[in-house]
Amino acid sequence: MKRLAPVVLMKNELAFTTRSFTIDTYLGEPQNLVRIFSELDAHEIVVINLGDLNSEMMKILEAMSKGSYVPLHFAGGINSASDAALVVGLGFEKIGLELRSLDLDLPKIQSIAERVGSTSTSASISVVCNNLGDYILWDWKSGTRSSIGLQEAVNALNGSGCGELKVNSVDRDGSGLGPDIKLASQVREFTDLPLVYQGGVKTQADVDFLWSLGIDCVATGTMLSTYGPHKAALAHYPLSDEMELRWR
Amino acid sequence: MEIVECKRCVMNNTAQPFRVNSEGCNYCTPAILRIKNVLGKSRSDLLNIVSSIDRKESNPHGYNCVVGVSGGVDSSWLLAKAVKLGLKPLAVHMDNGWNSAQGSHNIYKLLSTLGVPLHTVVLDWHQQRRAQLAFLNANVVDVELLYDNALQEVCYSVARQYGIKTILGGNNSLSEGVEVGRNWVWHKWDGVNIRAILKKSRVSSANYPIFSFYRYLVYRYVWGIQWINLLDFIPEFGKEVALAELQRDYQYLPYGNKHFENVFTRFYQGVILPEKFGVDKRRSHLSSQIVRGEITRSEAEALLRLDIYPSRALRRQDIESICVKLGVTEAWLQDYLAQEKGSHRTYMHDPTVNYLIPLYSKAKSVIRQLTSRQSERNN
Repeated sequence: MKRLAPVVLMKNELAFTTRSFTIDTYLGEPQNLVRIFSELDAHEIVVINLGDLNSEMMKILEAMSKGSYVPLHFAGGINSASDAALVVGLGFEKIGLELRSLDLDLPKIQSIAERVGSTSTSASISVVCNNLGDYILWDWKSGTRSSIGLQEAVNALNGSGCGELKVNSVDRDGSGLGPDIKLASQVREFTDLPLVYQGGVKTQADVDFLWSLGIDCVATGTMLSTYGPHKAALAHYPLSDEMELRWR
Repeated sequence: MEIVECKRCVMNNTAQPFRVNSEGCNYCTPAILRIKNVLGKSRSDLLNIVSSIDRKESNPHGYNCVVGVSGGVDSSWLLAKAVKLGLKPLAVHMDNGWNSAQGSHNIYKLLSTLGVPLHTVVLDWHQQRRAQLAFLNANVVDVELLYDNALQEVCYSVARQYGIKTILGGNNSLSEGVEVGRNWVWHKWDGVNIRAILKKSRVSSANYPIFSFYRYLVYRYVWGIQWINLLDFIPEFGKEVALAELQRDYQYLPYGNKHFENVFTRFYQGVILPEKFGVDKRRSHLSSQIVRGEITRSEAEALLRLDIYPSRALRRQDIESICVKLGVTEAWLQDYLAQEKGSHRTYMHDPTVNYLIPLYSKAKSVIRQLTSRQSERNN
């Protein structure tokens, strides 16, 4: 089934939207946001934390998973297989792991996939376009481009045991300019893994188009958490007919 | 305390001051006058006020009024009406971290169908949580004072930010004509009281939107922003009519009770007020409907016998999520509910809004009565 997943991005225990991977609009309190998306019957909720996975964070994650009836995906600050097992133990379906360097992150992804299973392991890559028009990976922690090409990264991940691949377009992130179609279709060619795309999605038409390209899940923060020209914080999600009936 | 009930409406002496006579009480009698006043308004009164709004359009976005939307029936219907009257509203929403899914969905459906842009002010959650705990620690009755007050400040400050000169308020005499008991709430303009309560728990009030009478004077007379309760010019407005229209045109989802679009308000009206303070705010809402002639007194009494919460499961769920979000245990909450009631009066409060303004309006009504008697005699 094709999915549409809202992204709840946290920093210092508060939710934000981002623009080109920098903090943009303050959205409020993340637990409530997750609860709202869950009650609106979102297909899946992607929770991202910019920061360490400390005990405070674990408390928040526990509350989120208690308050949510839909599959949750967590990414951010997971450094070992035991961290991943803890988060899965809280009730999260998927663990997101960012690939920033091949020799450091690849073994980590492999060990986590072995521990919690492939279907719970989702690798993610953040991609920018360089001056020559080639896609290369972006290291959000240092804020620099890395030397790894898109194809090289995807090939490495194909054999890493992860069960899903998430692609973030850094240039389009939060811009509302529409998705990077070229990037999405290139990645689709390079891999047979289920694909998640994030970056620049503005309307339902964009989502439908990405689905038609063979993307399995479209993740978006800005489109589902804000509304209108003033980027006003307002969580919303296309309601299924069944939900509509249940509430009426 | 012996319960004394009004014969016309369902207010009783849990609301103080409470005076009854053979016809009604001091809550429904003025409400009848107010409703009569609104029902006497003609279409031209409405058009006059709308045209006065139109002329004040001066900002780059082309908006000519601000409408605060909570997701509730009154404000949603007001927004739809404003658009139909040819106004260009900017919707303003204050997010205090307790929005319900239905509330968000309703606002989104309404705004996207009408094509009205939104500005949301999201309160800083960390500060917000501490402020809320300060109010609970003070054991005062009006915990919602914090938001009701902040909402006015937010509406005015957004109007100021966009250069808009008119705010349309959803307050109205038709659906909330019978006021809530004087002792159930505190004066909503009393910023001094809020600051004092926050200070007691050493919570900073800097950067928190706090409204006061003095802020009002500045917004009104320096920046020239006027607040109009537009629904008081629309005699056909009624809760049932509005709800039916919203459901038909905007797939609006009802909440089952007034102000239940917000999780904390739901909890406040459903648990804190009845269990700690012995107050049932539905009495005032239902009395308004009785006075309006929408329901009979016996129907209202039957409704009052139902639980305030639509279901036990929802109540359980709300208590859990409130404890987790505020970072307190359920034992703490039980302890809070059992504690002695506190009073707003023990904290510093603003003499202007609490004594001078009531005195002024009292004097005004006395003078009006005297002059009308005088003119009757002359006739």
